[in-house]
Amino acid sequence: MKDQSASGGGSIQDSEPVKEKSEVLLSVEGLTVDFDTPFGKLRAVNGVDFEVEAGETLAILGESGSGKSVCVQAVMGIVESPPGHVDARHIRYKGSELRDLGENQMQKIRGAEIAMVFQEPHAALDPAFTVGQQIAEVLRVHTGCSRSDGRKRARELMERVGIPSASSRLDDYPHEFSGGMCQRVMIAMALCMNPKLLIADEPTTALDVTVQAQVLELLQDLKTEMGMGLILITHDVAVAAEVADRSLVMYAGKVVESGPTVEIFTNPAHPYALGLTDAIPHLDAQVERLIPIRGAPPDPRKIPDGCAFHPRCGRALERCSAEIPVLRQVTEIRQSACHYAEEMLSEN
Amino acid sequence: MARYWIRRLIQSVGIAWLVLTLVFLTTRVIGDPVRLVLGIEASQERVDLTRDTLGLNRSLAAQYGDFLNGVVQVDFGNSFWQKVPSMPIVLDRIPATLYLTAVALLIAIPLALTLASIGTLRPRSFADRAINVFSLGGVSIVDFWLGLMMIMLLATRLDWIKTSGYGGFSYVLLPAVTLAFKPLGRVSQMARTSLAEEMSKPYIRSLRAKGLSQRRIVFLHAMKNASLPIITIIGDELISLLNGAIVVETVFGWPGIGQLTIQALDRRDLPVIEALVFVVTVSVIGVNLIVDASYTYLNPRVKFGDESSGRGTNS
Amino acid sequence: MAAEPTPDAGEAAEERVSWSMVIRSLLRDGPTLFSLIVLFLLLFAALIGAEIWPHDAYEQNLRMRNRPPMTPAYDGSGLGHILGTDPLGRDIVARLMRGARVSLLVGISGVTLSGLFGSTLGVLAGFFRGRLDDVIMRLVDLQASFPGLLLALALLFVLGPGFFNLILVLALTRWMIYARVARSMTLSYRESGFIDAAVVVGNTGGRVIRKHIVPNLKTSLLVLATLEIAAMILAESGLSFLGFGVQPPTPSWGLMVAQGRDYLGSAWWLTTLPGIAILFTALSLNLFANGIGALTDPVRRSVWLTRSSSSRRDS
Repeated sequence: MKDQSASGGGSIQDSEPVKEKSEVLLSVEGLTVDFDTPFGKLRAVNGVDFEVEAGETLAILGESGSGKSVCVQAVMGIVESPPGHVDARHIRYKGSELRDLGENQMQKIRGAEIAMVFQEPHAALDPAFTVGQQIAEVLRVHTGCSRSDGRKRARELMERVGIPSASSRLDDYPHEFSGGMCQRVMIAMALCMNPKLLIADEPTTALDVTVQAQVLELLQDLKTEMGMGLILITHDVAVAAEVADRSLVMYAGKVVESGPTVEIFTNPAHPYALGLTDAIPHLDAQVERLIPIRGAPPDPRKIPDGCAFHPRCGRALERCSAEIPVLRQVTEIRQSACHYAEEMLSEN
Repeated sequence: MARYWIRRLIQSVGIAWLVLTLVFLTTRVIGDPVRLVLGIEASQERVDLTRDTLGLNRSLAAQYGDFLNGVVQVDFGNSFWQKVPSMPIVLDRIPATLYLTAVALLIAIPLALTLASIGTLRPRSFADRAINVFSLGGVSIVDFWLGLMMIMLLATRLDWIKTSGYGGFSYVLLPAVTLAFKPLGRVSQMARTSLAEEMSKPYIRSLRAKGLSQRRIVFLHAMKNASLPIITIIGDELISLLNGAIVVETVFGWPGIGQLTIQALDRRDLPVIEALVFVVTVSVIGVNLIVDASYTYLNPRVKFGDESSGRGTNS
Repeated sequence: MAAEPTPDAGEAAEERVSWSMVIRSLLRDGPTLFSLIVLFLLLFAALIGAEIWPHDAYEQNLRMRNRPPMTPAYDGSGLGHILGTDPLGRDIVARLMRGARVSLLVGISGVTLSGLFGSTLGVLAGFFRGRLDDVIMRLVDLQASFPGLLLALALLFVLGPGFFNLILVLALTRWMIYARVARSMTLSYRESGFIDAAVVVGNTGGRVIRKHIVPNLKTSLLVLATLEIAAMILAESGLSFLGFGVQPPTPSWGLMVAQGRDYLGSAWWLTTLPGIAILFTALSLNLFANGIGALTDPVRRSVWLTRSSSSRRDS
């Protein structure tokens, strides 16, 4: 099922200008990723669909083990293949099926058309090369430019992402940078070739709160400036709420809710999303107690019957342990995989 | 940094001195050095005569003074066997051993690194199986037996391969191959393990996402990061090669310091033995220093004075 | 008793290990099976082989010199010389079996000596740290970087030949690895907190070491010891080959290879067979150590066991 944004021609009351249908950069349908383990085949991603348009930010939200990182790794084609197995009805970038492309062609797309930024920036950079070399490497591998040109561009990028004294820091090694600065370096590396789609996998998780805000702001600025699509993966609901136009909530390898971020959190249609919202401390709201979601995410080898969330769900009923819920359209722009989604929506 | 290296050099000199003092003590104090040299059956007269000639009836302190004097001038006296200064005899044989070990390393190391790289690029392929075989062979192989087997099987069938003596390719081939076995096994195993470890680190994923080819990732990035443990083990193997050389040179009649060691021990030629120990000690210290020096170049995180990424005691 | 996997949320399915599972896994693994067979044969040969074999290892018969394998006995009776005779007419099989005894003796006593010495130092260094640790580790590094064979030769030169000297020297050249392993394990146990708990409760240092650290070290050190027996046997055979190890007429495989060297072209079995014995022994010990290693390391064990039991589980 495709998540359709507001289409042209609304009701008479619709005073908003008709939104131009932006170009769909990425369209993923039926994505499934399995892993061979000594304990058997493990399904990390179980039938996930999503789309990203140019200029929009999509957040993929979920706890660790929900499969969110694997999803985007599968899109990039960097899932290790054994032990991983990727299957999908389609993974289309700008209309072309990525799975039809050979490794050489994919390498041309990675880093140039679709770029990725990772969490734990120190660990994600090669400790044996200077920051300047690593940024320039993207350029040199993709365009074959000269060493001096690469260096020049690296410096420009470092300045653009806000690294002070860029020229002297070009020759520094990753371990000489702070976490936040390293993350900026990674962003510079990702932007080298002006990619159309940027994927940020938990870019702020390993950083201090103040630095987090800076990095998120940087990402948003760059996105607007370059007209990129941005996929932001996070387990932090506040981050998603801050930055993302639309969100996808994942649990145990499946999408359990999707729609505009604001709506999901003001009016959730799935108990898990509700739980996530309740668990956030709100600075301005008067809340008596924080309500964390009890229990823990399921062991991928032992996913509960029926709805995977039901053991932790405060509203679970008989149907929930028996019947696997399917992600379905509950309003024009909202999808949910809860048997009782409509009831939840009407409660608010 | 400079201070660190000066400290290292002083330490090295100290270690060399310690080793040599130990040699002095073991040969002069434990057991009777004269009997050592002449053998158990020598007559008492001969023993006394020799003791006088060698100045071994003087006090220990005086002997030690002589000894140190000799060390500083790098002169350990005349060889009992050849009646000429011992150090030049040893120095004379060094090039042959260097030649042999160089060829052995030239065979072993490129092959080991190639296998390890192919194994990393294509896991579980023939390369990985070969590495397992070689590394198992490396620790189980009997070098002298292997050499003899090769002599027996190959040399009789292929005339151009020589089984003994010094010379060019046809002479050095068999001993070098025999010598290369152990380092091949160990270096390929270690390189493969280090590379595998690197490949499981998070930065590899970023490199893939940058659109780099697997080949570039393995040969440039993973290899550079894995080079520290690899260099360490190559350094270890360089020293082990001295062990191997003793046996291999004996089997193949190769006139290097390995063969000299056995000859000197057989003939109980104390000055030559002492000179040999000196040369080996200096080489060992030298290799260690070179290996340590290469660390800083290869891994920018290693700054000396910072103990966290040292080798040796950390296992 | 083997239990069904207990469904603990999030925890790996820890199958309780039963002896039958262990033995079945061991037997299923080709290389391990091979090594067990060879080691069993070795033990048999070493312990009772020489007694039950009709020929004597020391009995010379100059009319039966260098007879090839499958030569009938001199007096025509019973079992012939299945593997031939040596230059003095002695039966090869008998000598091989005596050699097995020698190798085993040297291997086991050498390992016991070096293991005890090295582990003790390692545990002390790891437990008490500070100056003691520094000194011990310095010593380890020093000796580890010096070529072992050369050191052994030098020591044997000074101490003189002899069985006990041989074992002592071998032990003195190989204790370092136990020290390193024991120390690193002690260090990690120290970090893990239960040592602090034991100390807080009132145990003295000595008791803590004995009751808490040593039992945990046992398995890893045992695996190491197995590998080291192989190394020791190889070292002894090398020394004997060079003439500095076991002295004739006691048979040692290395010595036999040396004795056969002169007859390389005419009596191939003299060098080939003892060498194969050494090779197979070392190989089996290494493979066996790998096998136990897999069994004792909990991570590898669960992988191994689940792999072998997945056939009886529904997927």
